[in-house]
Amino acid sequence: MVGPLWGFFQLVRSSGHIPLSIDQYFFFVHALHAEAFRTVSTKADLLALMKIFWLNEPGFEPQFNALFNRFFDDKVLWKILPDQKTENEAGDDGHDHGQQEKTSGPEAPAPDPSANDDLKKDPGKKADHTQDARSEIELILKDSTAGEGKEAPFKRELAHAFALSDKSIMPFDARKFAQRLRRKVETAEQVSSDRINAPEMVRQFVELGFIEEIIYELEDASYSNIVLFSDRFGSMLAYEYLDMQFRDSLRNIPHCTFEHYAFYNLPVSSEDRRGFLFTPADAKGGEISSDRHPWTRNTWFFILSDAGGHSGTVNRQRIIRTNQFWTFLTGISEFVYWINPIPAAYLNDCTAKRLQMKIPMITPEMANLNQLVKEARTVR
Amino acid sequence: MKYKLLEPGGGHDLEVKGREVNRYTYTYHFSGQGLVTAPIAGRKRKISTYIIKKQLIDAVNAAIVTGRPLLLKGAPGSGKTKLAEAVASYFYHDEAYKYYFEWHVKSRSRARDGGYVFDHVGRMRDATISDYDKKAGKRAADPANYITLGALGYALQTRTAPGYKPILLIDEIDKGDIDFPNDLLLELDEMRFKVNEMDNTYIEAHKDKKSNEQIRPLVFITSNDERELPPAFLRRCLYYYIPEFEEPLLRRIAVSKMKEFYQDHKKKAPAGLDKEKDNPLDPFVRKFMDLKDTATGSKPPSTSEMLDWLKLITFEIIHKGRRLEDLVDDGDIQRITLKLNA
Repeated sequence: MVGPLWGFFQLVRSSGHIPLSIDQYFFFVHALHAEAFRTVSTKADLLALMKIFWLNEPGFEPQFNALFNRFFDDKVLWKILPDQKTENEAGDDGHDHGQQEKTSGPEAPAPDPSANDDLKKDPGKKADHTQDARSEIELILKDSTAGEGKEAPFKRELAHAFALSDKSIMPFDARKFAQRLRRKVETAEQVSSDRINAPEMVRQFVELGFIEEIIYELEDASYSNIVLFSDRFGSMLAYEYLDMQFRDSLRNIPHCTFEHYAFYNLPVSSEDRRGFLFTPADAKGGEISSDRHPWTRNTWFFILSDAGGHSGTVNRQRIIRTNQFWTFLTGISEFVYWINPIPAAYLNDCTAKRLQMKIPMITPEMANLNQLVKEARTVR
Repeated sequence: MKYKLLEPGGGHDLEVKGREVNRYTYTYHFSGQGLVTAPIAGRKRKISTYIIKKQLIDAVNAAIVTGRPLLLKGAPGSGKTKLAEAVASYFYHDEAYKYYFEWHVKSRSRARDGGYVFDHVGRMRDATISDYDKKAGKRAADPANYITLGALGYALQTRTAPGYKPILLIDEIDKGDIDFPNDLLLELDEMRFKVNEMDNTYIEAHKDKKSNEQIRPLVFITSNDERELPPAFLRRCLYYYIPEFEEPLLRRIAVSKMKEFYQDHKKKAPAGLDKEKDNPLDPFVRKFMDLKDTATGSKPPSTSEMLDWLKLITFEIIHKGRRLEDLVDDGDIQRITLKLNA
């Protein structure tokens, strides 16, 4: 049963949801051969055991279950020994270990040499299946070239889940994203200036009776580490919860200067040089400003907007302005990310679809956000 | 090497009965004896009854077979922490605490603390007074005198009977610093750590005399998911999420706990608690399920809070003569024990 397991292991790895290392596969196989797991005889048992070894995040459980069910329904014959019952009608007595080698195609699992070695060393092993409780089940890869060839092609899981402003179906945990980001974002600390901090020295003198050393004023050498631009208007009102999740988790990153702006992602007759109306998200009025903390090449910019994805129309002026805005930000830093809550597959020909030709947009899912941080690691 | 595993009872679950266990003192000698444990006369600790579900039994057995730590997640009050103690009680009975060690992680915990703590201040003091106190001077010359092993150190150094493993609980690992889990990788992988203050000194897991195989402690790690754990750490662990309990299991838990509460008060438990149908605790469990879904509070009440509720109800029955039927609907008791809004 090693071949199909290896195939499924590879499938889980390649799905990108769960990081798996090769030793996790070997530990699982090790456990399967232990006396304790002789009772594994149903799909439910196998799934439960696999989860112990290969799943380490409850959020990925639905994807894991879906992958398992599809793989073991589509690709694997489930043989129960010694009655030789098959759960799948497509199976017949002609299936044996040799069929593993016949399977082809990109999804074909690598045959496990140790399985065949065992058979070579002990030709009587197959006959022993009936006496060995461990061998009550046998998994065999379906022969995709046999029969009428009507086996349904294996479908990959949808790469996205639609995000609504409902906590119960949030496809990601913004807090965990912020934790990952924390490892990447550089933060600066305060540095001493050349100005003497007289009040502090007086305070020290009063407390201690003497002055230990000269105390200088501290200078704020920090820059804006993270800037979040949230489109808060029109259809984006529905994503306010998403915006709040991002805001709350990003601003909780220690030693990190965080700025949050609401912006109106439509050209307005404002005097703003980029043609957008910006306001600090938590204050009234005011335009975008980088006076408080400079934006540097180390600043991370996140834009949360559907970019007109809900409108279903193409607004040429908006495309031009948005491109200007994007160019402005990417001119400052290379860490500029557009998070669009609407998956690309759901977009018709609209402003957002056209903008995506130039501006990469990601949907807010854990896998995408993790990938974002991972790729950013390779930038420098 | 063949290790002793958890064996499910007649059903699919395993009920580990509550019992009183001995407490021990631990002393480690770097030369010769190794870890010496001695029971503390008159000091006992109560371990509560614990019902382990079939899937969780598999997870624990998988951890025993593969020697990997078992990472437990689940809602607060779902029994993550108590599992390790229950497993120790299952294997070692009243000697559970001789082979079971707890490491409660705090925000300031360092990975090294689990292995050992070095009393630098004590050594410096002894060295300072060595001119006047020869004993102190002699003591200061040997750094081993200032080392106290932590839970991980004890777990590695404890000798068990063949086929048994020491048990270590690393509780609430997500409370530690962001780098805490990564700092534990080597220790968990190789089951050893270096004592920096002593030359070439490692504390490592014992080996079986016959097979020369390393006896890796059975490690339980709990997390409340407050913090994401790094992938390098996760891939070294097996994983189990303790799900919410269904009504039949909740009833079994309630029944066994109620018997335990009566036992604690040295009273006889009411008749009918073992009945499958018309169990006197049925209304209690149904009410709890209902409140869990509908009531509002700081969080949905967990199994742990249900047991607090049951404990108070049992107290009211025993000492005030009230009836279970009335107590189940007592809103004040519900609000206090289940932490519900008024």
